This record gives sequence, C-alpha cells and structure tokens, in this order.
Amino acid sequence: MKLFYTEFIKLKNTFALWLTLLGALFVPLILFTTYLSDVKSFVPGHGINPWDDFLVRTLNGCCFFSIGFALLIIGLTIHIEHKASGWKHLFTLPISRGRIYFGKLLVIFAMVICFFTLYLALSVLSGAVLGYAVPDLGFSKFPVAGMHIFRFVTEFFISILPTVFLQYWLSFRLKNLITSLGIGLGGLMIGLLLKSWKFIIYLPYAAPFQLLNYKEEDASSHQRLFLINAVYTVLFVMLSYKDFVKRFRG
Amino acid sequence: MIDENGLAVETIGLSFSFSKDRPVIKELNMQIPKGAIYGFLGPNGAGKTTTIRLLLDLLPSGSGEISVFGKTLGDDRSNILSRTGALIESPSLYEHLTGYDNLKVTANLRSIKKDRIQEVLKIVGLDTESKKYVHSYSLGMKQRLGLAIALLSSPDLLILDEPTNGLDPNGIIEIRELLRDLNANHGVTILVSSHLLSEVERLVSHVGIIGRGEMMFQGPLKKLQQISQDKAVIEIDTDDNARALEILLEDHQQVSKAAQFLEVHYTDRDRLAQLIILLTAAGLRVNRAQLVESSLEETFLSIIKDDHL
Repeated sequence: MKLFYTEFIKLKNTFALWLTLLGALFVPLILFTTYLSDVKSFVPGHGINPWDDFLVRTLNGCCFFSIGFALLIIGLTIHIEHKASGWKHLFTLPISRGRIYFGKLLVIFAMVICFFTLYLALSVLSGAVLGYAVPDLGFSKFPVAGMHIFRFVTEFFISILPTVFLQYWLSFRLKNLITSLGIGLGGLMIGLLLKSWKFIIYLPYAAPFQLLNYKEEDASSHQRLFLINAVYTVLFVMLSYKDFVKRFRG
Repeated sequence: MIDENGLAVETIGLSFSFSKDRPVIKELNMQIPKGAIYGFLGPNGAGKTTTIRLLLDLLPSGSGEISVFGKTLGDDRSNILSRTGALIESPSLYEHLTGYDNLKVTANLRSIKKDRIQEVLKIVGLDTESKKYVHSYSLGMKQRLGLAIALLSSPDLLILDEPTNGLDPNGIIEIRELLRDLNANHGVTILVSSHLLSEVERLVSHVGIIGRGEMMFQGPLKKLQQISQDKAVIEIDTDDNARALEILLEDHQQVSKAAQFLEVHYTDRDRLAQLIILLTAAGLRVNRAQLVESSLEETFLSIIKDDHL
C-alpha cells in the first residue's frame, strides 16, 4: 500500500493527473454542448427513449477517445521515472523489482479506472442535467440503462487490457515518450482503419473499435475477441514482468 | 566471513562485459575496509561506474564475487541495500516535486520515519529550501538533495559516483566536509569515485586506481604518497659532472647521468645538504642542486599509464 501511495505522490503537479480529470470531461462536455446548441435535432419522437441514442454516442466516444487518453496516462506516468533518471534509484532500494512493477501497474489501473468512472458518471450527469434544463429532450422521463453501461464497461475494460499491458511495457522500455505514444497511436489508427478486416481482432490495439455501436445482443459474437485478448493479456504480463525483473536496467 | 576481516566491500575476480569481445571490468579485486573513505579513481571510461553499478546490483552479475558486509548480493540483496545509500552520477530527482516530497518518496519506500527527513535536510543544509520545487534548485542544491536521499536510511555504506561533478569549488568543499563528518562522527564507510585525484586526495584514507577495467593500484593513501616520494630525485649540476658521478658512486648513491646534470635518488630531507658537502669537499663547484618531487597527481597519472614500476 505504501508503494501505491508513494507512486501517487510522484503524480503531484503532473499533467497525467489533470488528464485523468480533463480527459474524462472532454466527450461529456462536447455532447452536452452539442445537444444544447441544436435542441430541435435531438428532441425524440413520442415514446422513444433519448438515453438510447445518447448512450450510443457516449459509448462510441469512449471507444474512440478513451483508449487514447489511457495511452497518454500510461506514457506520462512512466515518463516521470525516465525524466528523473529514477529507475537506477528505485533499483538500489531494498524493494523487489516485482513489487515496483506491480506498484506502478496498480497506479496506472487506478487512474484508468478512475478515468472511465468519471467519464461515464459525467456523461450520465450531463444527460440528467439536459433533462432538467431542456425537458423536451425527454431525459427525465426515462431511467438510465445502468446495466447496459455496466456491461459495456466490463467488456470494454477486458478489450483494452492487452493494450494497457503492452503500452506499459513499451513505456518503460522506450525512454522517449513520443516513440511509445507514437507506436500506441499508430496501432489505434490501424485498428480503426482496418476495423472490418476479418483478422483485425488479432491486433490488440483494434479491440476497442470492435465495440463501436455496442449492443448487448452482440456479446456472444465478442467471445472470440475476449478469448484472444485474454491470451494476449497473459502473454504480455508474463513477458513484460520477466523483462522488467530480469533484463530492464533503467 | 569477509565482514570479520574488517572489510565493508570486497570483490574477487570481478569481470564484466557488455559484449563478448569487449570486457569492461577484468578480474577486479577491490577491498574497502570498514570505516574507510575509499577513493575510486580512474580516467573516464576506465570502468568506475560499471563497477559501482555491479556493486549495487544494477547490472547483471558477471563472473567473480561481490561481497558487501560479508554477504553476497545474491544471498542478501535486501539487507545489503537497506544498509547502503547511493548516489550514481546525477541524482535521481523528481523536479516537479519539492525537495521535501522527493525525500518523502524514498522515505516511504524505505519505511523511514518522517523525522529523519528533517534530520537529513539539516545535515545537507537544505532545511530552509525544502518546500521549493526541485526545478528551481541550483546544481549544487540538487547534488546535496541527492546526498540527503542517500543518507535517509542512515547507511553504513555510502556509494557516491562522482558526487562533485559540476559543482563549483565552494560546493566541492561543502560536500567534502560533509563526507568527512559522516565518516568521522557516524562511522559511515564511503566509496567515492572520481577521475581527479586532486578532488579527493584531501578526503580519502584509501585509494583504488582503475585503468582499462583493471585495478592498477589499491591501498592506503599513504602508500600512494610513498610511491610518489620514491620517485623524487635530486638534480645536481657541477663544473665536472663526470668526476661528481665517480664520487657519488663511491659513496654508494643511486645515481644516473642525464645530459646536463646528474640525478640522485632522494631518500630523506638531509640528503640534499649531505651531497653538496660531499661534492664541495672534493673540490667541485656545485652550480645547481635541486629536489624534484613527483606530485601525487603525476604518480596517479603514471599508474594509469602503467609505467610506475
């Protein structure tokens, strides 16, 4: 726990911390202003739940943007150590390398989870505020599909696990933040451009885009994707851990 | 046990290479007595930092043995590192944090109480600057903060790799005084590396000189001073150097003839006067008689060049 807390001290005054907050605000704010600026286009027909359309936009926004923010959070968090030449100091402390590896990973996961929680909470909040501010939009007449959001988040989180571990590995291996981020963003671009290619599920970076226009009925078709992701996750954890503990010198 | 022999650090036949055909450290035998200030000297690229990194388990172990406090790193890494403070090259500092927070990070990781943070800040003279962000610190302040971090655990062994790099003369003196105090009053064994003998000769009790990955000299500083003294000669020029040479050889002096003068091996302070009396008594006129000493730095350089023997 001390290691976890100490890693958070290092994040004080850093952009990584602000990014978790501001990045989570980005899409909800855009959606909120878009709805407000063109109310007529978004007034639903009689009996139609406006949350359905709103959530598609919110969750698609999550697929498009959140993984990019997650990559940035990972890169910036690890870059703190590169910038301070901190690895050599950490490795001369009486702490095992394994603890250092998992301590940092835990902080990254805490920030990524915090980011998603904030993102979804702010999205729902903006919908609720729109419902009160503009009753015609109909948000206050229907309940929020909480279970739908929960299912999406769970599946989305599983889908990005290999990317998080791979990016964590790249970030501590590559001192240059731009290089590791460039590889990550390049991977995302390829994943998005070749979204419909039948073998794209083998590219870890493409997984988030397979959940675009998320419908619960699609869950069964994602089983193969999750299986591949599980294999990638185990592989990346094992390889990056071994590399960090045995070979990485900072 | 090495510890019982009074050694804080010992390496036996330590070798290391980054690639197969380019050994960086060759059969290095280092012995640092407990309570010593050991100056680890050598030119840039001689293998000082690599040796230090090996001592701190920052590089994969090559062949040979490393023992610290009588234990090998492989057997008791955690205990050894908890008794060791290190500052390798430039200090590892988080510049976006305050000096205090930088110390807090290491204190947390080493499970050290907060009171100790104030203590080390006072020791290095940064107690009034601890709330400032490190990016506003001068180079000297950063170096002192790095030293404070190394001192947090009240280490028995302090390993400092070129700690005065980039410091002004005042900063160098401050660090030297601090290390002397830590050694004298807290019994800390100190390994301090440098490429300049002049930088550490007023501080160290023992010296190890490394060149091209090999230990060229190791022992108390006095031993190095003795080598330096042994290289001293008296240059003598008379009106008849050939006759003077005969007289000196008859007197069993170690003498050699240079182009313009004679060189007599220097043994003690009275020798110069004795030689002048000897030669003038033989009717020779002494034009010049001069003691030419080899400085410690020259001895150091000759050792590095391996031409001291």
